[in-house]
Amino acid sequence: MDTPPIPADHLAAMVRAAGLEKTQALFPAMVALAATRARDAGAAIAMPSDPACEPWPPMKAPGVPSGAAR
Amino acid sequence: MSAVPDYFGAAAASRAFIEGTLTPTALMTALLDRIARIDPVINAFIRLDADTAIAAAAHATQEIAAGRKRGPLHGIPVGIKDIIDVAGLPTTCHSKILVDNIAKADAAVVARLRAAGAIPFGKLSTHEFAIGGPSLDLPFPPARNPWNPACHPGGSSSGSGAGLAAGLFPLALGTDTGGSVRNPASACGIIGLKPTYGMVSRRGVFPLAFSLDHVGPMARTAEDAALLLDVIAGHDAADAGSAATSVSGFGRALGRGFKGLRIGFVRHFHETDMPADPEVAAALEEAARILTTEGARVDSVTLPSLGEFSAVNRVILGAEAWSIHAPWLRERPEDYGALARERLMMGAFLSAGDYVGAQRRRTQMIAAVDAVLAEYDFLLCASSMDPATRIDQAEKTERYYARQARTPFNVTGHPAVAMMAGLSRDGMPLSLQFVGKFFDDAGVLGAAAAWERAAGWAAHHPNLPA
Repeated sequence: MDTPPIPADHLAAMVRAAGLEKTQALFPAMVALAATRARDAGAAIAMPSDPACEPWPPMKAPGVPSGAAR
Repeated sequence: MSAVPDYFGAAAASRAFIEGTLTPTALMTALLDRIARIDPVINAFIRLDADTAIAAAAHATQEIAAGRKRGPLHGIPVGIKDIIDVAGLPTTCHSKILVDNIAKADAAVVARLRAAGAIPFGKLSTHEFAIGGPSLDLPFPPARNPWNPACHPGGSSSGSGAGLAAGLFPLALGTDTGGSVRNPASACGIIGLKPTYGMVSRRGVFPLAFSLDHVGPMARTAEDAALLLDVIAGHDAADAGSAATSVSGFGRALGRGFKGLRIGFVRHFHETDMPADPEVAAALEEAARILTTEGARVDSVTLPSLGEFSAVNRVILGAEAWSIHAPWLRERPEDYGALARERLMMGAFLSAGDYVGAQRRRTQMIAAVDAVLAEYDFLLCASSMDPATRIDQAEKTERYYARQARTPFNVTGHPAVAMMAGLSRDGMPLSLQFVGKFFDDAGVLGAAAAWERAAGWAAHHPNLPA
């Protein structure tokens, strides 16, 4: 399903924030596509509503798995 | 000393070394001859130093003859994906960006191979930075599929899969962030294991996405994959993601069959989430029938949707990869191939909220898979939804790469093996996956070995010039 493009002024601000001005000048269609994909990818996730649901694994302390053969 | 049979495996070669019917030198010589004949069509290698390989094989031959055999991989050649460092050789990541990048030290997995007496030889084709391919606009040509060189071999560990299927080496290392060990295994009809996250060190491997990256063994048989995993697995304090455990003996379940096992079949992945090619769907149903005949109980089970797994993988991969590539994408975007540039760019526009939210949803997805695996020994599911497509048909190839069920287990970290489940009418491999509990990589390889015996596909090879 096609999704609406990101408005030009909004996209320009996003490009400046990302420091991609050179890339935008060389590959404008690719940059616009990437921004659209980023918006759509985030929207496709059912973000947890449980406040106690923490991210994994960057903040997970390493440990020995239970039941693993050693 | 007899001639070396085509497709001679690592375990068989190791036994022959002990029996004195084969030497590492004879094996290496035969493989180099085969590479010279076949690789100009397949492009598995980016770099091959035949003189160094022959010298290493001669050294192994002397050591084994003197009774100093270090283990099953002593004298066995292993192909290395070109995002993995081998000291003194370029690690180009198949990219113009790093075409002059010489590795200063061996990656942890390469050091482990050397310590075991294995011979890391040659750097193998990949997709650019393990994400941008198959591409025709890079410094090296893309690998091609030995079952039909007009087709791609999957990726990103494309040279690893193609070279194994072509019989150019018995073992190879691949990496897997969104399925890149299992994709070429599926497309080329070999076996590829994405181990439990943290089982194998990634030190010295160019990262794509830290929390999704795995190094995995690729081979033509489960037994060979287990031998390779035995050598490369283990804790590494220098790898932040390394599991604080030491599991070993990955061949211990190879003789076990399916009798009495409970297998959860994730049918909705290929039936409703992402309807598979009819030949793939039929091969999966036939697999379930064979497993039942072999004494397993096969039930349909439900996981989160494939589309949502893919979205979580895409956001995490995009954000983490952007943090690595941002300087080059800002300053040297023209030095990337088009596919890598396009795929890596997305991360620039993801928000912190997107990334943390995807990681939080990941927590729930891990729990969901664990809950099913509490009731079942393994999961059975699709790997690729289609047979490999022609490499010059960009749109069909893009579709092939998107239509797969491998990313769920990068998101969750569970061990997953992809292997052959049949041949299409056009003679291209079809595939399946077995997925296991955390750290039960031995069990997954045991299921793979039992599948090999029950289905017999491991004995099939592409028709290549003699």
